[in-house]
Amino acid sequence: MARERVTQAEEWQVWAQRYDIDGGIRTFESGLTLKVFLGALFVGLLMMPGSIYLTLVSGQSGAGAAPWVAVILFTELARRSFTTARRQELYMLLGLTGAAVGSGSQYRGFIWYAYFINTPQAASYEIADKIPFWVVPPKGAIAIAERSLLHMDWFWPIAIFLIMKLLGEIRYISAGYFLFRLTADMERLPYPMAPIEAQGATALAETTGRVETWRWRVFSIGSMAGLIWGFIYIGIPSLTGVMMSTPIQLLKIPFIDFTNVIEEIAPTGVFALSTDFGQMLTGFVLPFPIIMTELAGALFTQFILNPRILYPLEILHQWRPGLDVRGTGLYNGLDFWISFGMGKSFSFAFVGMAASIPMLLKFRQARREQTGLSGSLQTPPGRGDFPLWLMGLLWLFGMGIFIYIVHVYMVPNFPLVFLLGFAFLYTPVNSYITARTYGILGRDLFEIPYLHETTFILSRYEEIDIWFVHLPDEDYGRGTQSWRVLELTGTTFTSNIAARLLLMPVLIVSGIVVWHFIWKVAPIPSAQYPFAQTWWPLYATNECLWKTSLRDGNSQMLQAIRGTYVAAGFTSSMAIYGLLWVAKMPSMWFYGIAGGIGADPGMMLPKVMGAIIGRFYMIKKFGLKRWFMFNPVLAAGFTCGVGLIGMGTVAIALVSKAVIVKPF
Amino acid sequence: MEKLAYLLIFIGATFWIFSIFLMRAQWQPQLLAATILIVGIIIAHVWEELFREKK
Repeated sequence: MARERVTQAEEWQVWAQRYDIDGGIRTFESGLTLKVFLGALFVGLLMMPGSIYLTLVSGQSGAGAAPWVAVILFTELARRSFTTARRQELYMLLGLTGAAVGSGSQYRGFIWYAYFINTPQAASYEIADKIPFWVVPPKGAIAIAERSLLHMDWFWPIAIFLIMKLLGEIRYISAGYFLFRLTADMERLPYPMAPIEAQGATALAETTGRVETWRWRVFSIGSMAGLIWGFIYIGIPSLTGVMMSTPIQLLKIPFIDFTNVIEEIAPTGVFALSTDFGQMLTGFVLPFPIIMTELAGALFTQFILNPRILYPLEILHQWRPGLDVRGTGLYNGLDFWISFGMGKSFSFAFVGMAASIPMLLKFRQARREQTGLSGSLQTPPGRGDFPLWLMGLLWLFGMGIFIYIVHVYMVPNFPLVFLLGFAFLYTPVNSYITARTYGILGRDLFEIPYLHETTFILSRYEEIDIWFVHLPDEDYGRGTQSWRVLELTGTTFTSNIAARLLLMPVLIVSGIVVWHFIWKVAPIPSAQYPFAQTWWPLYATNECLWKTSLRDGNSQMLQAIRGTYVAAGFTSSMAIYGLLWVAKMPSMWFYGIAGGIGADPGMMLPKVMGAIIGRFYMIKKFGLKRWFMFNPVLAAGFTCGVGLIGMGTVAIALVSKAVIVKPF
Repeated sequence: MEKLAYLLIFIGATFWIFSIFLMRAQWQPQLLAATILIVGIIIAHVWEELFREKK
């Protein structure tokens, strides 16, 4: 019997419905209330200094768990006050607290360059006197000598930073929204990882109500699993590291390398078994066909393509027996896979456009019929949507002013055509590709390595200042997932934007003030900040090497990019897509195969185990619908549990390092 | 239209294999194969979305 053809739009729509565990029926409410705003501000401002301090002391900010701690605190307060917390409020709190805690890292650059400009490395590489005035005050400035950020010497660096931040916010909101409408509303991509974030907030919101549903039970199971796993994987090595010179690892972190074991049968193949079995939860969530085809692609690469084709043809020519996964991966990447991967990534954009253009043509018809199915840009009522033309104009405004400032005031001699190319060609394509890969795979796949270096060489621009400019090669695709989460939690888009804009000025002021005080406490780096003291000198050397790497026009990485292999990656991926279409196979297979080609199958095994357990045990036990309802909640609970363990162990390690044992 | 899409995809894929093994994998013939494939894939999706008669 002939296989019936299912269009890509229909296929995605089925998956999107599967991940939309509320069945697409929801009402939208504002998540921004005074208590949420104050709660986020309080927790964020309390944790932001700690997060900055932890980064300087231990290199780990602990920011991942902070939003969950805030939400748990908030729900407990709500329970004890005999009131309820809505999921919209909790999701908003998650987002705002995360933004507040994470915002501290944005201002690190001021302190870093205040240190960098005075390093012997910057002097010996002849960079120190060439750092522009809009990055850091000059070497002998009083502000640096007095370790003060609240000084007029910082006027230009801070002013330029703030203008750029505001313009960046406009661009990211408008472009992110635009792409969300394109990929989620029109193409109906499923965004498989979005329900994890959404269901965490929903589960915790239900604990404040009178009736606890299955969500809280499943979330608790996930949290307990996360706590146990987090203790084994993070807790034991961290805690024993405090007491012993070599920490105890029950499972080798982050992988067990079998590359040497397989080199007899598969020279140039890599196989490193990931020990992060928390990835099994991701395997529960992601579409089964994607995971299995990804594994097939990776196995084919490491056991057939690399050792039987590319190695005998001497395309992989740098590999030597005895190399581990890192060495083999590095040489294989330089010889072939970096170039091939670039071509492969471009194919995602073309495939996306080939599928989207006909949908756009069908758009009028769908709107006429008011079906709300794929191919329609019709929005659900009350979601707080904006006209697409307005968002397009806002993005053009944000990008236009940004380019103007960069071109006129910051790097006037850098060719404008490169800035325009980045802004209006590369950024839209790059963002669209990422939005699609997030919509389908829940992760990013597209990255062109050494893009800046290539651009600088092609432009023949030799000044150092270009290295300090934020170039307009941006990626708004990642942000599309957060719009999807807002939709799943029933939070109005307008309330989210209002919250972000309200919190921004507070965070800017507090971030700068906190850095000022931390810098005042002791020089950074110094013995007070051991991580910075250990690593910052090395970072300074690296930065000098990078910023001067093109002086002699010789970069090993740039030489690794070869047109033939880029073309091979692109064309082979297009051929795979085309042939799968001819064979009437699901388009998901393409994303799996293309994602898996060149990858290490060992790193996928925990995810594959999760997918197999989910597909052949859990679905049978709970039924398809219930399992798809359970697994995002389970994964959210797990993330929460691991995050809490991570934060707890970092705190213990920090306290133990602050205690000085006296010999008497 | 469906048949045309089939044909172009087959020609593109075959030409790509041909370019790899018999034309020393130069990027120009590979991109020519890619262009044929892109046209085939676009036609396939246009047919699917706009012209296919659903059962």
